[in-house]
Amino acid sequence: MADFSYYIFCAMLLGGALVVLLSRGYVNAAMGMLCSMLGAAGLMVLMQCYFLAFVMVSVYAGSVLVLFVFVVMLIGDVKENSSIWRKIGIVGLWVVLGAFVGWVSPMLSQAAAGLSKTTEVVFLSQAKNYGLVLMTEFMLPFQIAGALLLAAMIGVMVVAKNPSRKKARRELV
Amino acid sequence: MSDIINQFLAPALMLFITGFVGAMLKRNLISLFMCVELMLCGAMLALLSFASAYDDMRGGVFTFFILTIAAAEVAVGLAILTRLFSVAKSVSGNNLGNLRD
Repeated sequence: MADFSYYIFCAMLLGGALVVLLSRGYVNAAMGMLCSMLGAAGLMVLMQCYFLAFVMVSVYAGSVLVLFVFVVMLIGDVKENSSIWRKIGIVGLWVVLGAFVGWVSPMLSQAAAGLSKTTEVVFLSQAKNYGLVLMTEFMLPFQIAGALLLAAMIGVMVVAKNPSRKKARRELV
Repeated sequence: MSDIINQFLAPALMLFITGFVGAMLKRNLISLFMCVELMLCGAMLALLSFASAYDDMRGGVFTFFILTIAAAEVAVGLAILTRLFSVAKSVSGNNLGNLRD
């Protein structure tokens, strides 16, 4: 059963990514990305990282994708014109690189399997452990990430302000 | 052990490479953003495949940080994109120079 769901989630992950790569319209690409993210969340469940799978669905499928679709709604769905030969070329390149991954990935995991295991065993599945590690070992990166989010928020406000309206107001004064 | 890592590392690498090919080939910025997101997602899966094989918390925490940074990056990027569209009436990467003035 786990094997079956593993193949289903892999197919969702890579099929969605291929749709993003090949689609002409933005909305199709966004739907492909949704499929890909759900596949990634499923793989995380199979890795027993339940908390991260939940965050993945709520942050990526819930907010990032909605943001994409919202922007597509603002600027309109534009169809790119790409020839069939270009698509065949992209798929060919993808298959060649996939064969390369199939060659290199077992070697990488073989090399990694020789590493020594850390003595402490923690459970990736529980949200409580994330809180504990974030508040002790990763306190500084956690604070920096918070500061970065604040800076991003202010930056987005500055970028989104309309300068032409400001100029018009200045001319009025 | 290596089988368990490989089982999740191979799709992660494939996803990263798909995103990379897209980021190299796509011209308009929305598709390019989506491909960058795919690359980030591949990196997250690779980190998690090692973290779950070794029962190590750090991979999970780094995945958590990547999720945070990706959300901020998309917000800023899409704000720049809408600004570019209102200036240049197109979202092609070739018009980014128009934002200068």
